[in-house]
Amino acid sequence: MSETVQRRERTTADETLVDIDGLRTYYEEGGLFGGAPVKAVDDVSLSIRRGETLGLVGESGCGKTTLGRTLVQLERATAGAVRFEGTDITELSGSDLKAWRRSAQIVFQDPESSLNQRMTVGEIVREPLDVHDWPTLAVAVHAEGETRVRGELVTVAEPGATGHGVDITVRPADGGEPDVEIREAVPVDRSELTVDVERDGGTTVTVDVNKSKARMRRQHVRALLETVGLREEHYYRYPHQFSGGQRQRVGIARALSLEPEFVVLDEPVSALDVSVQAKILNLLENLQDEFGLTYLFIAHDLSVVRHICDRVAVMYLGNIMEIGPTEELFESPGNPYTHALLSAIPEPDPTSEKERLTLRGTPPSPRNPPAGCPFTTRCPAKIRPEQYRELDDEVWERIEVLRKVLRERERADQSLSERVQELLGLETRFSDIEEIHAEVFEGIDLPAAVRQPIERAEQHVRDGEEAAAREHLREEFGSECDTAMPDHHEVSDSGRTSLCHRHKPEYESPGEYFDRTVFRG
Amino acid sequence: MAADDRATDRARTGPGGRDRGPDGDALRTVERPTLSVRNLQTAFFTDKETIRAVDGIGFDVREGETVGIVGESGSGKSVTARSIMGLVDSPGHVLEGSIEFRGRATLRRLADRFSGRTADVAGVEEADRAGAADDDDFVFVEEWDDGEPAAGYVEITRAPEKARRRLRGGGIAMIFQDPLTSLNPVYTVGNQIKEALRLHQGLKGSAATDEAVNLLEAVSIPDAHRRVTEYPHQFSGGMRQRAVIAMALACEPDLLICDEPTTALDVTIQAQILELLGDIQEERGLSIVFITHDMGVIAEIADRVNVMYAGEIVETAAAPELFGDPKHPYTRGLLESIPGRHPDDDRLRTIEGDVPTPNAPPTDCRFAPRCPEAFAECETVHPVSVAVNDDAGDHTAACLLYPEDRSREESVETHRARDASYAGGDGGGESGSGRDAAGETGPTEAGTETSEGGEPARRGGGQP
Repeated sequence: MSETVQRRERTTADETLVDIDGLRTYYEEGGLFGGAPVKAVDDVSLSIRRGETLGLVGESGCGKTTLGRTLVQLERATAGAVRFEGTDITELSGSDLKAWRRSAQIVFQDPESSLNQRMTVGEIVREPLDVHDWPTLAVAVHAEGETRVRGELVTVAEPGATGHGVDITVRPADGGEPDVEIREAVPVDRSELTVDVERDGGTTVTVDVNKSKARMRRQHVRALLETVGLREEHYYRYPHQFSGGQRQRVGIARALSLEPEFVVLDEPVSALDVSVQAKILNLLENLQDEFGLTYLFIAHDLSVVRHICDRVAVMYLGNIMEIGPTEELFESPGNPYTHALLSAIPEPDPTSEKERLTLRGTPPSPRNPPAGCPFTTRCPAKIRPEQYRELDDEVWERIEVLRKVLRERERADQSLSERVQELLGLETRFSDIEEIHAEVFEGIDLPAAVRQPIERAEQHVRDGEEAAAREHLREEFGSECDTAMPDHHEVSDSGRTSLCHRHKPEYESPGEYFDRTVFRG
Repeated sequence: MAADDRATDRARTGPGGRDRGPDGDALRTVERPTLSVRNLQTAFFTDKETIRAVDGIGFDVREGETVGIVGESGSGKSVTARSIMGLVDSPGHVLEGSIEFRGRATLRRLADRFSGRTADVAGVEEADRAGAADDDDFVFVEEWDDGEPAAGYVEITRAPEKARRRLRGGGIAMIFQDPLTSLNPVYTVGNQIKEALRLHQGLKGSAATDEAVNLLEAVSIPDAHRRVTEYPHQFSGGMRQRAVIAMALACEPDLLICDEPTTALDVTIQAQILELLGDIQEERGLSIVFITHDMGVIAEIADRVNVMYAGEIVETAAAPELFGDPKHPYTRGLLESIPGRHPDDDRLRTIEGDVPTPNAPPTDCRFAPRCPEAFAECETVHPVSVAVNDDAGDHTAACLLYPEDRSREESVETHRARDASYAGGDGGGESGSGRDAAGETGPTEAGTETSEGGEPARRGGGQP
């Protein structure tokens, strides 16, 4: 039996473990009626280094969980590649995929629903071991010439493997008992092993394990429970007998049972109270140190991310808006969305006089993302056309609201009766542009420069051509942000990148823009 | 009791209710709080045990004030809210305590509707009220104005279900964590707001529709004319919570109870909702009780903060003081465990152990097993709320370490004596001498046995 997944020596800290290239995951593609797919992950490229914790943050629906699930192949990628130690795992299938799954595990957000209520904690943690027919012990033989390994539960370790790539090391001694070394985490004693060495040109080592698989698994599970801070007697209890924090520990033990290298943590502490959360975060950090794990930490709580992550990726509508080292990103964010997200965190300090950048509205539907920059519909630092740069901020804001209202109407379902009413030329709830105008521009004296284009757009609405109205407003008030996808601009020496047109030399950068407008004084 | 007969009499006596006689002290002449909770005890009776989810808490909410209740899950915050709303379902019961609500419109409406159960206590000293009221009275009028009640309160714990139903939505509205539980999926949002308008303001037809649109605009929902005709599933999470707030406002409440209203929302949407609640409060002078486990949110929105642990309020202070100078070891531990407080530490600071389930009347400090500063007496003396020191104003903590300017022995004695005075007594616990109330009466009384004078509230309760 051979292991497909190669465990190589850890050489440098900067070695890339997971390399994601142009990854897209779409839902509901094709189908009977065609229709637009939900673009949950849309062209994501990033890499995760061995031993680091990469944070993935964003609002709900931004695609962060889908990205995490795609990385452990719980979702199939629509396009792009995920290279895990050089192997594109999106191409794997069958037994290769199953073998690979041992190296990448996931911990789910809700310990309530991710644990089977009818299984004991011991069974839950043991299940992956049963599924993968654990253990198959990797034996390394240190001898000259050709070496062979025989035995029921053993296999030859990969050449050059170290760490948990080797379970048993055998050094044949001349004439006497061979020297046998067993890795600490392997639940067998020297006394439970019979090792025979035959010399017939090469070296043949026969290893018999005098212990049942079931016993080994039980022992391994007990050790795991202890590792995650539970007690041995918890083996026979059921999930409902545990608190939220303890259940999450069970979920972590299950994820670690096959000794993975890479663990996706999907909001592992979001459902927990702050004091329990602190304990679980400490546990995760301890485990990372102990087992050299690589984490993708998905969260929406930015203070947690700041504490635990080495680097952070900020996601919005399926795109990575900014990615870079944690402290740097928190101290001097590049992207307007990162600015807004950081500014929205309530600080546990009532005396803090932080200026707040409140975003209007909610993210657009990933089925129908905006044409240009994904953040354009909510961006507070949107680039204005040349002729409107000097326009009063309040007026500009109201115009943006009008555009948003018209955009939302496009998405609103029109009932059958409304369509009939419209066909008959009757008034529908969609025809009250005068009211909208009054509401949006209440108390505002529209400058002459904008009055004419707005009136023309409203005339389009009156004529029942809302698409034309939207188009007209976009032409008049839109900019690059509405039409072109920005590039990932490098914004610091550490290689931090940000997806925004404002990083181009001809514009004011988002930071400068906010300092001048929102955070002034 | 025929309240109306006495009305003319009382009108002559002048300010009455609020002015407590010739030697009424300064504290009593200030505006009475909109909501006043004293020695509230709510327990759940299961086959296995009695869970004392809320165990003798007390706090006040003044007009236009936001009072935060913060604590971990299982600390009793939501049960507190439900007790105030009269929404505690079997097997839960409010065992003890008083909840006085002073919404003027509510008082007038209930005094009118339940005149038979209205007690006229104008000019009657607090201690003598038991005599002036019948056993089933729950509306207490302290001041009359042309035969109309002008001041007084509704005692929610004694109110019948019919009256509570009028109170909910009418005087007190509540917003829950998940807006979908408060919205009916088969009616449009407009219909649901109009229902509230019809029930509580008597508005119908196009007048109700117009008002519904106004309310949606008031909670910053754009294109409100179209939105009133939409169903809850067509709203996003943040919009739904806004719609629920609009429904709550439709009843023109005096008090809004928010039970984790932003917990299910994203941080950007949470910021929007918190901003909205602040604006609405300013506009309408609402009192708000804000329940959350998020210290950041509470710091942002609350004027005063109550920290709950295992059914009890362990610390109360104005928000800046609580965060700037936390006194109770639990509050300190809670704040310390927030990521980012000590950026240089490699690991987060934690509180050892788990939150206990309070299933017996307290005889010790419930936090003692986890407390880094616990000493021997913590296991034998139940701490009561006391001012943390002589100059503390209204900063109180239920911990044997306080008052901090007394010796350890003196402090412990204070707690022991005060707790014994509650435990020893028997009889009605309705007077204002609830355990936590004692600490809130101010620094002058800190360390003295304030409750001696009042009628001791019964500790322990019992199966109803």
